[in-house]
Parts: sequence; C-alpha cells; structure tokens
Amino acid sequence: MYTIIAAGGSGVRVLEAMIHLFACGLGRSDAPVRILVIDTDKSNGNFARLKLLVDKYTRCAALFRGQLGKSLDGKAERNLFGTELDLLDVEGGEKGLKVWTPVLPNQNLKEAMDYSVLPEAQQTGQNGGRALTSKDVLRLLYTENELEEKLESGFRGHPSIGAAALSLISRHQTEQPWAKLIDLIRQDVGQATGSRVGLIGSVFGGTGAAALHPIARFLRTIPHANPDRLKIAVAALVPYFQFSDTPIEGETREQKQERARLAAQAKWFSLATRAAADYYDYLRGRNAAQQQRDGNYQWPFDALFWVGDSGRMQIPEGGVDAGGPTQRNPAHFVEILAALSLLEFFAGAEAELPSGGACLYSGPRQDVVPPPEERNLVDWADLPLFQRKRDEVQKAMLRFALVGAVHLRFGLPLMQDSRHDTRSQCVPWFHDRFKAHHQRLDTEAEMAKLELLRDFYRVCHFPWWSQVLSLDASSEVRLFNKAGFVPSDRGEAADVSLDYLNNLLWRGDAGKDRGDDMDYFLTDMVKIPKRAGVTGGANAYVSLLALAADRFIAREYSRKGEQEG
Amino acid sequence: MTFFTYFFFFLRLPQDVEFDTWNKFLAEVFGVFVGAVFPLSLIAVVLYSKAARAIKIRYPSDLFKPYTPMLWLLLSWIAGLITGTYFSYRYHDLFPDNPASGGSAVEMGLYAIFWASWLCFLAVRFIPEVTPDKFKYRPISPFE
Repeated sequence: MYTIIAAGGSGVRVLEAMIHLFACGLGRSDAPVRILVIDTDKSNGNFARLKLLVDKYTRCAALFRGQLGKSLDGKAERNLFGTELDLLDVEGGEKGLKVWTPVLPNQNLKEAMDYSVLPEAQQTGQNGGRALTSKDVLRLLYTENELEEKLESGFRGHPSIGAAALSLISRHQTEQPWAKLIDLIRQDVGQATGSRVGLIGSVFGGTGAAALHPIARFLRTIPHANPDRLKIAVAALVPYFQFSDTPIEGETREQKQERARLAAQAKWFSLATRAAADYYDYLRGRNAAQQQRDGNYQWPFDALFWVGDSGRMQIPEGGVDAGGPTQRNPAHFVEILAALSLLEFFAGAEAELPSGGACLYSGPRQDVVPPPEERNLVDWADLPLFQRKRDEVQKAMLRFALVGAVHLRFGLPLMQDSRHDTRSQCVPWFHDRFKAHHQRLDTEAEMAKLELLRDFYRVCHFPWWSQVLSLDASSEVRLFNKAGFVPSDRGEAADVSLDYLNNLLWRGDAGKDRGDDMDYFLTDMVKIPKRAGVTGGANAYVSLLALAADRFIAREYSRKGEQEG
Repeated sequence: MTFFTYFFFFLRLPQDVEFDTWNKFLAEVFGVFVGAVFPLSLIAVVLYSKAARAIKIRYPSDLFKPYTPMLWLLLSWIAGLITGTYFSYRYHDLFPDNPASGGSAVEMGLYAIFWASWLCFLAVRFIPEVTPDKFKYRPISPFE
C-alpha cells in the first residue's frame, strides 16, 4: 500500500536518504514499501550507490526486521531495519532494485517518438479525429541537437525532452515493472487502507522535472474503482546544489564545450524551477476552475512538498553535471527533509493528510539570530514533521547511530578476539546472554551477520551522515556533531568515534569529549535485564545494543537537555 | 565455655591459668580483633571500589587487563598482623611462664586474615555497587 517512485539523480538521492531513515526505524512496518526508480542514466554513480545501499539494507532487514524484540518498557517494537522493501521482483525476472527508463539504450528522442513514421506536416481527421503529432511539431518544439542526442545518460537538464518521452508511459503498462505495480495499486484501492504513492524528483533537472506530472497523471488512470483511495504526494526538489566551474585536469577546450553542451548547467536551475513552479501553478489554477465548473478533479497530487536550500552546495565536478559513473553527488540534508515529508504522508491517518492539492514547503531557516555567517541553518526543529513527535525521530536516528558506533569500534572487534569466549567473565553481557546458554557469536554464520551490519554502517550509513554534516560552505547542519564522524581506515568509509557517544547531537561548543562514554555504554549493556531483548545470535546482540542505547540516551541526553534548557 | 572460647576455638586454655583470667584475655583480644578486622576491611573495600570505578573501558582489550583493584583487598590483611602482634604481646605480658604463644599468635593472625578476607569477599560480591556492574564476574583474582 506504499509506493515510492524516484525519478532522476536527485530522486535517487532522496530515496537513499529514505532508506537510511528506514534503517533507523522511521519507515513503515505495517506493509512493504515498493520502490521504483525512473532514470535513463543507469550508469550514474548516484544510482550505483543506491543499489549498494538497497542490497545491504535488504540483507540486513532480512536478518533483523521484526527480530529485535521490544523496548525496555515493552511498549514499542525495536524496528531497526523495520521496513520491508518490495523491489517489484517477478518470477523469472531480474531481481533487485528496478530502474525503469522510458528510452531504450542508445535511443534518441527521434527514435523514442517514432519520428521516422510521423507525417511530415500536421494533418487532421486521423486517429479518431485527433491530430497526429507531426515531424513539424517536433521540429518546432525541439532543436536538432535535442532530437539527435543519445539519451542513455539522462535528459541532462532538458525536461522538455524527458516530458515527451515520459508522456508515452502508458505504452509500457503491460511491461514489468509497471505491470506488477499497477496490479498492486489496483489491489490496494480495493481495500479500505488504499494506496499511497510518493513521487520524488527535482524540478530543476531533467528526468525528475520531466517525470513528476506525467507519472502522477498516469497513476490516476490506474484505479478501476475507488479512485479516491489512491493518494499521491510529491517531494519536488528545488535547487539545493550547483556545479562549481572547476576545470577538469587534462580536459581540452573542445571536450569542455562538448560536456557543457550535453550537461545540466547550474545557471539554468533557477529559471527551470521558476518555469516548473509556474507550470504547476497553472495546472492547479486550471484544476480549480474546472472543478468549479464541472466537478472534474484533474490535479493529480494530494500533496506537493517543495523542498530546497538556497545555500546551494557546490559540487566540484567540472562545473556541469554530465551524468555517468562519475556523477556521485554528496548527500544533502534537503534529501532528508524530502524523505521525511513523504514518510509523514505515509504515516498519517487519512483524515490528517494534507488534501485538496495542498502545497507545503520545507527548507532551512534564515531567521536565526545571530545569523550563522550568512549561511542557512538547519536543525532538528526544521524537520518537516506533522505526524511524528520530533524527539522520537531524533531519538530513532541517535539510537541507530549509537548502535553502529559501538558495533564498529567495540562490539565487533571484541567478537573477533577469542578471549571474549575463553575469558567470558571479563565480558559480563556476553557471559550472561550467550556463554551461559552455550551460544557463540563468533561462528561463521553469526560473524557474517555482524560483518554485514558493519558494512552497512561503515560503507553506507556513516559516510552518508558525514556528507550531510559537511556542507560548511553552503549551510550549517545542526543535526549531529560533525566532530564525532571520523574517517575509517578504508577508502570513503566512516565511523563514529566512541569518544562522542554522549555528544553526538549538535551542540554549540562543537563537542568536548568526556573520554569514557564507552565505559558508560558498556555498563548500560550489563544493566539491561536479562529478560529484555531477544535470545540467540546476532539478533540478541543487536537488540541488546539498541536497548543499551535507549538507556544511554535517556540518561546522557536527557540530562544534557535539562542542563541546556 | 563462653562466646570467646567458641570464637577462638583453636586456642587452648594454658596450664596453670585460671579460666576467668583466660576469658578476660580472650575478650581483650576479641576487642582488638574486631577493631582491626572491621575497619581495615571497610577501608580495603572502599579503596577497592574506588579503584575499580577508576578503571575505564574504552577499547575491547581493556576488558582483559588484570583486575588490579583486588590488590587493595590485601590491605585488610594488616588486621592479621595487628591482631597477631597484639596477641603475642599481651600473652607474654599476662602469661610469662607459658612458652606456647608463638604458634598461637600466628594462628590468631591467620584467623584475622581469614575473617577480613571473608568480609571483603562478601562485600565485593554481594553489596550492590561495590563492584561496578561491568566487572561483576571479575573479583576472582587480581592477576586474571
């Protein structure tokens, strides 16, 4: 009953943020969330990163989802990795994250639009009285370059190309993954709970800008009955980054011109956004007038979340976004805001949802006194929440980070040291929960689980946070304490320092470490009652870490909050 | 038989010494015994507890370091030295003609050490918060 359709590079990055939120337990545990990516640029580095994340998340969720017991008070499920992803797999088809593209490999717009079989000039009286699009019309709307350009690397900031290609989506409804998705949405609207779809895309780029309205319009045609049970929300991203015009080493002038010709250029972002906003405003106005006239409701969105940051993160990639494997834009807090907007849309009861085509916006505040050196500022108060409590969201993210920090730098190294078993009296939590029951955590099977969790944190989750917190030049992100995130000894990976366990939330003093945080956390692990959590294997270990993190947060962060309050 | 003869069961009434005199001597020694064993055990336990709390676990390898706070419990053994010395001194003073005090003084010292160690053990294992939870299975040996 939940579906996320992410279009284009920015959509993919919001989806990435959403999966990180799922891992923290902020997703949906009542039903799977279906995921579909629309992108012509499968080689895009952002997509490769998402694919890796989805793979690791899916494997972690298979191990831990619903297997971690309840909170200490027994009221809440420990739902780390609590959202099941439905990747729209079909029998005999390709497994894993699906990326659908409206154009075939090496196809250009001419081929996508069947240009060769179109009449030369506009003719009427055919096609049931409707005029067929002619070559003249295409030549009027598109330049020769746009018609000829190969589209395997995306629409590159030309939404007009994408809109034409995506308007043909109904041709693909019998193909996978659309056939399965359509079938599932029809099943959903047959039930009282209905179907909620979240669309994500930027309105200033190519694919996302082109996809949002055609996809929503197409989705509205899916239900055969109960069309009101299909709720569609859109996270529309407005510019939040730009490409700095840094020359690429060794690039010739001709190469630079060619790249500029093909790529999305930051200087057009504002204009593209304005055009998109005008277009949606026009659609909305037309809908209102039509609804008043004949009651026909055509505005396809139940809620439209506009999210952005005027701080504009600089992406040093030769000044233009030419797509391909090198396009690996760093994560940004705007993507968290957009992801949370849609999760809030999923979380609300029907009566509480924004309706009637509501437009909502979210971004960093600029009214902070004193202003942080003319940079925008985002902190926990800026998260666009209308369903969940802010402190619960904060606690979920913090809990997940603490579990990872302790696992990476303490728990896993300890399990790799054979003394934890031979001298288990030195590790009381292990002695009580595992050794006493003749269980081990260092068997091949259990270690594989623990190493999978390590990889999720070290390769995906902490580097992602590290990027979000490192926007110093454009905006100030006051969510986590950046000083606590330290580079790992391997490549782009990152860890959280154990010295910052009690100081991981942003604070004005940037964090003085106490130095014995792990000691307190360890004591919390020992003090968790033996009846709490679950028994057996890596699940029991992760459950214990989560319970200890709750206890740690309740003591360390509540006290800090009181002192600061 | 009195409480003191029961308590110091390993001591025999010396020849040519009246029971009342012996009993008074034992009462006097008992006073010193209690005055040495209890305070020194308490001091040892307090110092042990402080030392155990001072150990911070930051890295996994810290868990396996020798549990040195237990060495503070040896402080309670001074009670044996005090009690044994006092026993010997008073025995010679009160019963100068009786030659058997050396072995008894050692026995008295060891007896005091036994009691001091037993009290420390009970405190370390069973009084909440004396041993930090993270070390709850460690009070076995200072060298393990």
